[in-house]
Order: sequence, then C-alpha cells, then structure tokens
Amino acid sequence: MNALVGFALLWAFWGLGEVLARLLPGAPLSGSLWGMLLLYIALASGRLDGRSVAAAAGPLLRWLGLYFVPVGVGVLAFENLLRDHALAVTGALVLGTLITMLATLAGARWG
Amino acid sequence: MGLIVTLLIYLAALHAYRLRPHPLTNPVGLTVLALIIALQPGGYPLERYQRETLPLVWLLKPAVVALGWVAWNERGSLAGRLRPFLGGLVAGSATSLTLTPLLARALGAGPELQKALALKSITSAVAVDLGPRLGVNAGLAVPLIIIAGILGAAFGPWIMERLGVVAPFERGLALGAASHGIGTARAAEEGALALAVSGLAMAATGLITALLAPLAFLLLGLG
Repeated sequence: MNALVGFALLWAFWGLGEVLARLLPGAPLSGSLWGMLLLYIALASGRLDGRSVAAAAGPLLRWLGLYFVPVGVGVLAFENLLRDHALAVTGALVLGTLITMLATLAGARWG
Repeated sequence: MGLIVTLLIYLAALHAYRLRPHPLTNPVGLTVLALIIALQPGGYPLERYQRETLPLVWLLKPAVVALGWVAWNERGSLAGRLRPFLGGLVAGSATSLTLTPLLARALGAGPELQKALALKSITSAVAVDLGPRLGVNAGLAVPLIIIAGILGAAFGPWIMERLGVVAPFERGLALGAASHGIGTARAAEEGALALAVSGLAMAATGLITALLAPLAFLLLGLG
C-alpha cells in the first residue's frame, strides 16, 4: 500500500516537473529532472514523509537498467554511422572517460 | 512479444552478472547485445520492437524523480564535503561535455555524433529524458553511455590505484561522475561510503550536465 502511494507521489512530482518544464522552456532541465529537484526539496523541507517514497523508489530503482534497454537497442538505426566513425567513437569514449575521471578528481581536490 | 523477450533476456543477464560480476557482464549491455543479435536476422522491425516496449521506457520518468530520494537519503555522506563534491562534479561534467566532442571531431565525427558523445557521462535515464531538449538523439547516446560506463567501471579503479587515489569518497565520486549507474554498481564493491557518494554523484551529474550543456554546445558550435 505504502509503495503504491509512493509510486503515485513519484508520478505526481514528475507531473509537477513537466508543468514547470513547459512553463520555463528556456531552462535546460527536463520534466523528470525538475521532478527530482522538487522531490528533494519536499523531503528536505520535512513536509513530505519519506517512507512511502522509499517503499516505491527502492524496488523501482532496482530495475533501472531494464527501462533503457529498448532505447539501447535503438542503436541499430545508427549502425552505419557508428561503423563509419568507429575510430572517433572509440577514441572519444576511452580518452573522454579517462579524462573525465581525472578532471573530477582534480576538481574535488581543488574545490 | 518484445516486452516479454526483453524481460526474459534481462533476467538471464542479471543472473549471469551475479555469477560473474564484472563490468563486461553488465546486464544492460548484455541484454542490448543479445536483442540486437536476435532482432537482426529475424527481420523483426525495430519500430515494432520499440512500440511494444514503450511501457518500460515510461518507467524512466518516475525513476529519475526517485533519484531525488536517493540524494536525500544519502545526503549525510556529504557532511563537510560539499565543496570537493561540487568542485569535482562541475570540473568532470564540463570536461566531459567539451573534450569528448572535441576528441570525436578531431577524429572525424560529425555534429550528431559529437553531441551524443558529449552526454556520455550522464545516466541513460536522464539522457533519454533530456536528449530531445538538447537536440541529442537518445537512441544514439544511450549505447555510447553504456560503453562509457563499462570502460570507467572496468579501468577506473585500476587507474586510480596507480595514481594513489585510495579515499572512498574520491573513488566513489570519480566513478559516479564519469560512469553513472555502471560506475555506481562498481563503487558498491568498495563499501557503503563509496556507493552513497557515487549514487549522489550520478544524480547531480545529470543535473549539472543539463545546466552546462547548452553553453558547451554553443561554445563548440553544436547548438
């Protein structure tokens, strides 16, 4: 029961976020990201009981990987593009990931 | 049909990951690969498959919202460390957003690919949702994101050991910032603090990247 209420709350925050995203088309945040921020603010303000949200968020996030499998399969549509630029993709991903990690570590020590 | 097959393959991939937990046995990567191999010769149209599995993609919306709960739940692990946390994430996100497309450009990639690669460090959940807003094709970005996650989770800890980075806070931060959920799964093997920081970093990286991306694309002439 708690989980159902929590699930409904997550959708409600998404809906609020979607409204905000429409009202502020210039802001780069999507509806879900606005919803994430609003949920954090509501929990931090102490007005929202985290228990029902926790009951829904836990199981929902345990299957997170499954939800973007269909989008991942969509790579089929880009087969030729990726094959033609295999070197660029590999280089950018390998070096880019390494440099991102190093920059994060440097930023953390400097911050 | 597409939905049931996806579920079954994902369950099998999860089982494989439990037997041999390694970034290369990442369940999402394995499932996507298996489905591509299965769909291709069978002549099963991609559009039909994606239509049948739409309910799964809808669940990404509340799942991204739920990351706000994760952040609130784990906020204690940031006590007194908000500055290094934010400093690291802003530096990491800005670097990823600019250097990755520039590298790809130097190696001959066009604008569409450059933009998709720029989002490589955010969680796919956010990319699917944010991509259209930034003019990025999520179908192209997600597989690249998954590969970036696997690379970071597989080699990140090894490189950090060579560099003498041993603090769980820093290791979790770097894994979450560069390799989102796949890095966070790897951080879980390093203990509760690394896991919490990595999860927080993943949620915050999505947010920071969303804020910085329009400026980065403008500077790179990708707008």
